[in-house]
Amino acid sequence: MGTLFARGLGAVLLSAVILATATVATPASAEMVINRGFGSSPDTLDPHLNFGAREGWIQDDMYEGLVASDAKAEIGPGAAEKWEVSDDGLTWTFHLRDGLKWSNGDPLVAQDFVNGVIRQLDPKTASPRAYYYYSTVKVAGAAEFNEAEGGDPKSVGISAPDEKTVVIKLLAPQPNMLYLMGSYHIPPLHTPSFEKVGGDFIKPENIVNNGPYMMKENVPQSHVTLVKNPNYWDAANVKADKVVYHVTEDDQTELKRFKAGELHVTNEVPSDQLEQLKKEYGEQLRITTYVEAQYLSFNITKAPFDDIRVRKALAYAIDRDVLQNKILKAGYQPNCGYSPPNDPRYPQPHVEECDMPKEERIAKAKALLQEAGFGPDKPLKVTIDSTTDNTAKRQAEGVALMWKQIGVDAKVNAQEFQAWMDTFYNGGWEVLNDNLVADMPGPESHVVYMQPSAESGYNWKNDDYEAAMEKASQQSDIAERYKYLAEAEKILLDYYLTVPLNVTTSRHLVSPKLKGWEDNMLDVHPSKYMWIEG
Amino acid sequence: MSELLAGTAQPLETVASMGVSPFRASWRRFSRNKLAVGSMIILTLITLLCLAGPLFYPFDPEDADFDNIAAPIDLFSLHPFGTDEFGRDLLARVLTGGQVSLAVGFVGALAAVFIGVVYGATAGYIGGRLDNFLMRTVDVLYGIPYFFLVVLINLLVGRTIMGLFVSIVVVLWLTPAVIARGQALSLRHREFVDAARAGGMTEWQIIRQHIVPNSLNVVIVYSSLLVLEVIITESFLSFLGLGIQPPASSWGSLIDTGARAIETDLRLLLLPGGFLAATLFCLNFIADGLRDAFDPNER
Amino acid sequence: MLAFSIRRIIGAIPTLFVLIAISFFVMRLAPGGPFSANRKLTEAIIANLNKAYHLDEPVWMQFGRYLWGLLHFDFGPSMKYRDFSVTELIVHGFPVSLEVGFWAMILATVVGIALGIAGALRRNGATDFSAGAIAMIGIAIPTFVIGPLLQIFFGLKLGWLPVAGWDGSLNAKILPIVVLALPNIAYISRLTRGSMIETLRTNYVRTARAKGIGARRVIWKQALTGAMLPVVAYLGPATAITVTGSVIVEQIFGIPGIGRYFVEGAANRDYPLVMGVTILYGGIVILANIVTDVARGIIDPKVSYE
Repeated sequence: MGTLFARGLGAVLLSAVILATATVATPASAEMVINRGFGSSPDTLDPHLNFGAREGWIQDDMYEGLVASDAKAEIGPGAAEKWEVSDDGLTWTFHLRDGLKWSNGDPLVAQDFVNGVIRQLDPKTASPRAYYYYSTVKVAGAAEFNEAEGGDPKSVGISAPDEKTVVIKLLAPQPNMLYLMGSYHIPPLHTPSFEKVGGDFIKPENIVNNGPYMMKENVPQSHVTLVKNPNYWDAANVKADKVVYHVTEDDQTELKRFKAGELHVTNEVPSDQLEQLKKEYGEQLRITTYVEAQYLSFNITKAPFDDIRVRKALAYAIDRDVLQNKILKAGYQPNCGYSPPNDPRYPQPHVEECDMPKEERIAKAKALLQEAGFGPDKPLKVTIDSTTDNTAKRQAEGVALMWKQIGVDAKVNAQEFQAWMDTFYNGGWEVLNDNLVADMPGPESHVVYMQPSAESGYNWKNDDYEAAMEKASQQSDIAERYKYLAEAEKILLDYYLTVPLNVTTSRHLVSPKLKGWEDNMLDVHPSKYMWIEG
Repeated sequence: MSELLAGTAQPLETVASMGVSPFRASWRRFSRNKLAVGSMIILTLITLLCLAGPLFYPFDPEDADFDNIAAPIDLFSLHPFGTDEFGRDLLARVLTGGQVSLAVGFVGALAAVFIGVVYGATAGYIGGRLDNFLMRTVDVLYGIPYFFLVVLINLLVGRTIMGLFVSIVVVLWLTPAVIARGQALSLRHREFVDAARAGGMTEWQIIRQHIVPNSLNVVIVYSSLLVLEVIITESFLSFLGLGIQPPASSWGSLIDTGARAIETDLRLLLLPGGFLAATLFCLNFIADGLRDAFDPNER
Repeated sequence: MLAFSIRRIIGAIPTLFVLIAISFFVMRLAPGGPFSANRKLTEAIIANLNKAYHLDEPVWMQFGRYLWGLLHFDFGPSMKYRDFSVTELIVHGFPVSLEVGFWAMILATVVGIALGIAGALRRNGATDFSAGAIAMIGIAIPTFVIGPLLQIFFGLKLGWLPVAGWDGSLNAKILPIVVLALPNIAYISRLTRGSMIETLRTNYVRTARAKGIGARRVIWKQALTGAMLPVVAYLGPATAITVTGSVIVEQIFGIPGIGRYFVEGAANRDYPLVMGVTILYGGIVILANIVTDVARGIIDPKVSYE
């Protein structure tokens, strides 16, 4: 025992010496490296499986679609240099650039893009994003191909008539087609490596890709390192040699790492410290409206939430201004409609309580509750189901406290994401602290989402809503399309299936050394356009 | 060393008479320990404050004052210790939060120690096949990662106080069990145990009257630390979003909120953190005092 | 003793099997499945996913399939981190958790025992009080408070150490090791103090002192050895828990260990990941208990190996 103990002591002393003599030795290098905060470890970087927006950043760096986002999230030429659409809006033809290459030097051809879409739709791939080509972009034959094994890839409305042309056939016109095709949504597939190693083609030792960067390392819970792809067609304009996405599970730690200069840009900024950070960091703090709307949803299959008076009373009791500007202080805008109001061409309908003075709102809320049979002797009991996300939880808590003031016994049940989802699908919830991120600017993603055919969890079916949506989907003219969408949104708001709360923001701290960063509504930031100075 | 050990047999009379006057003697020894007694008084005061305080305090911890959000400390204002980010009175929240933390801490630790000591002493003393079976069961339970269990309990029991309590006790009794077994193992061959056996005591009587009391000093040190551990565990669960649900609060959940504001509004951390630290310090000194007082060798 | 160890290790195999079986079936009791992260999943897509991961088969068949994989050292694919197999995740993460945890336990043992002895020898004096207070800080301030405080002080104010991250440098390891060691220091020093005081008073130490054996030798050889029993009993399980990663310390310091997987795996119903880390954790805990029992036997020959 004595010797054991002594040996242990010796080891500790030795390590203490090592710890004490450790010095800050970082070799100076001329390499330009961008250090980006990433949040939680990526779920997958497989371009045909991923549907996460953050993973999309890395994918935007590794894969280039037919069209691509620039630093301002505006869609322009990507692998395709030009394209045209038929008069009925149903056929899109993309023409690839000359001399495109994969990162290993193989020629990149039109069929590679077709194969990418086919792989994503193949039932054997089991891609959670397969719905994309029939629910969002309605590609002919896509749904049938995905739903049963052994379908013919040729039955899907995407083809490559020659090495440089991709033709996509749609079932309904889609004026926002380019937004949907842009970014990380339609990456090509390097067929030889896929045939050789299957899904493992995404591993750093196997990967062959076509974007400005190649993956060098992917260490779970730690970082993803990308290096410049010399075979990229625009490699001359790619400035940074290396981009490192650091996993930053904890937003407080991420903030400190930014302060210490370990990160050039953060994935997130803790929403409860914005005022203080604005004072300290001024221009470096970027708060930008995001295409996400947050709202509460009622379970209309569960009494008493099947009673519109109850739903209305609860909606009336919420003071959007206090909730967003005094409690959350996350820079979110109070929202009076269901969809995020970010397209000035859209005539957005509003819920009526938005224009009422406070006293009137509260009085009406109390009166409605009483009419529905609730009062001091029989208080309404409500549970709000929320995720454990800090901002979401605080918002739910704020709402519960406001409801308490009209005599409602409100509780918050915060669960981790998966359990929250299960609660939703099992129908055991009463009020859901809900949200939706759009695929593109404008109201369409949101209003489409509430179609019962697309989403069964709300159990809401309304023929007028369906009719308006059906009419909208036939319009290729954006003004006409918006007219019908607004009609549908008004029906939704009048029903009080949901209570709009806010439009969220994306929040980043951007070091003055990082150049080329542009704030944008879609929160898309390709590293290709960034560089380090100073 | 073994020849020295041979001299450790204690006079049988002392052991046999345990439980009558020695308790009073121990208590007297304890009350001479100023630090321990002082800690006991402070802890009692904190407990009383948490239990009775909210009854006399004008604010409900779950009522928001939207006109006074994040009010600072001002001892002569409406909210002497300010309000939180929702305009709820901070002192009221810390006091009711203390009720939850103290209740979970004491009841949880007591339950865990009781289950653990009885289980471990039985296994260690009886030994053989029963020991083997009991300790393999402990091994299996030990082998299940804690947070995996907590997430499961959360899903199966729900996030109630009961769920929280189960999450805490479910594995915390294991370590007292192992420690008690270790003590029992080394006690079972002591002469006074042999003597008791020769004197016709049943196995269960021996466990109850000799093994458990003689394991007690180590267990008391450990269990006073266990109360701390339960209170701390509760705060870890809050940090991971697995703790008590809003709008209810505990010291753990308040400290978690406060830790997020460490650089902006230290007050949110210091008030609940101060209560927690004071409680933990008191518990520690009380544990030391108890240990000294209940040490069988001093009788 | 060797025979005892071998017998215990063989005896541990059924324990591990029971652990695997319980975890496997209990995990499936939890409501929900692994694939509800995307809200737009249609039934066809969920069916495709279930088929790809054999979740459409009866649970018994899945269990058989899993055991068969285990026999080939195949822990299966991760359902949450789809780019990695569970084996890859563990191979990446476990050495990191092990390194941090190992040094944290060494630090905690040395400091904890030293503080405990100091307290026991100068009972209720100023030394005892301050040793107790130092130890208590480790437990009275939760790691998720002390971690950020140290980050602010050493990372931001002084700029001596990186705030977080894991680049292989020694500097990046210091703060997490210290933070992880703190609560263990508290436990170890309290246990040492308690049992040391008891041992110092036992007759054999008194006898030894009376016989004129030097005070120092008594303390170091007899009293300390005797006092180590409860500490060793604590160290075994605590080491097992610490080397398999602390989710809180790893989250705060951005350490790519396996701690996160215990929460993440269960929360996302990533069955293979949960099973993988549970088997690893369970195996280490069982091993640590065997080592503890052997160590106790070495310290106290009165503990028999029957």
